[in-house]
Amino acid sequence: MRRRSAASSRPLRRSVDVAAALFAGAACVALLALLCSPPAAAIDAGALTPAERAAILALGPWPPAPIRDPANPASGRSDGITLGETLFYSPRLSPTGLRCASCHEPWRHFADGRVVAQGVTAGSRNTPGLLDAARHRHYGWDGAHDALWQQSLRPLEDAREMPASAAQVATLMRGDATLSARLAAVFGEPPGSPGAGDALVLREVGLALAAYVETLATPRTPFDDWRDRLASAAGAGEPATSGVFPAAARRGLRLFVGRGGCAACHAGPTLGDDGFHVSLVHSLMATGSPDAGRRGEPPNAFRTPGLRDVAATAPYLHDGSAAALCDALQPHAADPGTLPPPLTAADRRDLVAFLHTLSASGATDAAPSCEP
Amino acid sequence: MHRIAITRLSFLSLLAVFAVASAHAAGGGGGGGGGGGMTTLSNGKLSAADPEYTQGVAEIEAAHFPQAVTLLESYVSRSAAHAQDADAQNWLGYAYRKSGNLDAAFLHYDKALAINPRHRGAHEYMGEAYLMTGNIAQAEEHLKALDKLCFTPCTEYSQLKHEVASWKAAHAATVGSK
Repeated sequence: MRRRSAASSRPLRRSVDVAAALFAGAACVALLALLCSPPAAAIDAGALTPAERAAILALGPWPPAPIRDPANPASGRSDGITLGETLFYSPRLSPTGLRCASCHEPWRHFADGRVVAQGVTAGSRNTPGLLDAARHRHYGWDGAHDALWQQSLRPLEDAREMPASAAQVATLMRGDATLSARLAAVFGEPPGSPGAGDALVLREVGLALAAYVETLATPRTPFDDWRDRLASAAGAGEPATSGVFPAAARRGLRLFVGRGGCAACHAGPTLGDDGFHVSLVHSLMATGSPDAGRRGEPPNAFRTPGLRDVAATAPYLHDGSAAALCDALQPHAADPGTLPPPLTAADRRDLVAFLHTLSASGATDAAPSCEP
Repeated sequence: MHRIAITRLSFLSLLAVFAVASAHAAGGGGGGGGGGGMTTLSNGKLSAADPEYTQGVAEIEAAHFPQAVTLLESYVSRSAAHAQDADAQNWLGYAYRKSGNLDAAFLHYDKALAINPRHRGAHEYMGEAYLMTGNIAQAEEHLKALDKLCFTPCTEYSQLKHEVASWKAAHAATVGSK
């Protein structure tokens, strides 16, 4: 018994020794880190600089005044909006029974939760959410359209998505007395005759869909409350952090507008500049060829998405390859040109904490831990 | 013996508490109805004692769907709070579907799920509505969602699973006969 216990204590002693050595090593590393790098807590706790303050205020206020499209007769009209709503949720626009809401699901914040879009066949890009779409100047990851009504028709006609023809859509709108009357009420004339009139009916369907999508907007968030209190704070004062806007979110926000360089592209109240920037993530189209992104721009340039409500719309990036927000930050962190120095795991945790405050309900994404 | 009986009782109580907790965690899933899985509402919410709402549900149970649509449309239109009643939106979707208006059925199922993404009844009926349009892939998406939501066995999952299997069998037979 005694011998056995003596023998069994040896590995225990070894592990104690190893643990002590590891502890001492870790303590040295921590001490070196303290001596060699700026104390993060001191930076984070310090007052905002005037530049940081201005950059933070530029991310609001929210919500801005509603946007109406003067080129769309249905825009802002209640009958146009409700017609668009009916069509958005209808399974009759597509011969497959697919609806706009099949991929832009309201319960998934008007995204679909899939890696890439799934129409009648799989697509090659992640489905963008529709909230705040009225504020875009370009639509789709490649900005193929610059009008919401045109973009509304894109999946409808795409052979991989819904797919419907102008003739099918026009037949539906003419054949249903209620839809026909509603279309006539909004656009001033009944659906035209078959043939040449089909394209006109399809256009009006796109306009009605756009009128509805224009109404889909993200609500105010904990960040907006904090930002507005900052705007009204006297002098260099700033609001306190809280449970819904914690200290980690404040650190993440400072990174976002400062060292992280995020606000260079994720700018303005939507936190997206609607511009095209070269992505470090390369992906393939369904055909197997590289996805070149925006035509007329350098290869692999994609539209910068807005970040409001982003925590609720995983997965991320144009190819849906990032399952969680931390994963989405990783390719950005690897870009020495735009983000010097690279983001650490702690930086990414703070950024994710900030991004969570851009959702009204305190949404959390799949993997908020941001392990190195 | 007495001790065993008490232990069993405690175990059953625990199971009951667990089942209730699971149902609550799953979002209640009320507002069911139709098919083989007619479920009764059990909520203490806005709708519980509302005559228009309860009459609307009664009309559904009596298969008077147009009357149910009228009553439930009036109920959800009464205020913003009423419009946020996921059970009412789900019942309204059901009444529209049974009236043959799939456009409105989908719209109201979507509203129910937007209010409560864990609403089991709305997932089941959305899946069944997709089956009516012939879109099996979308129906199976809602079956998957129910599979995640139903930590313990639930009628919404088993009912939609049955409907999907029936649809597949019927579809296979149709294809085979051509």
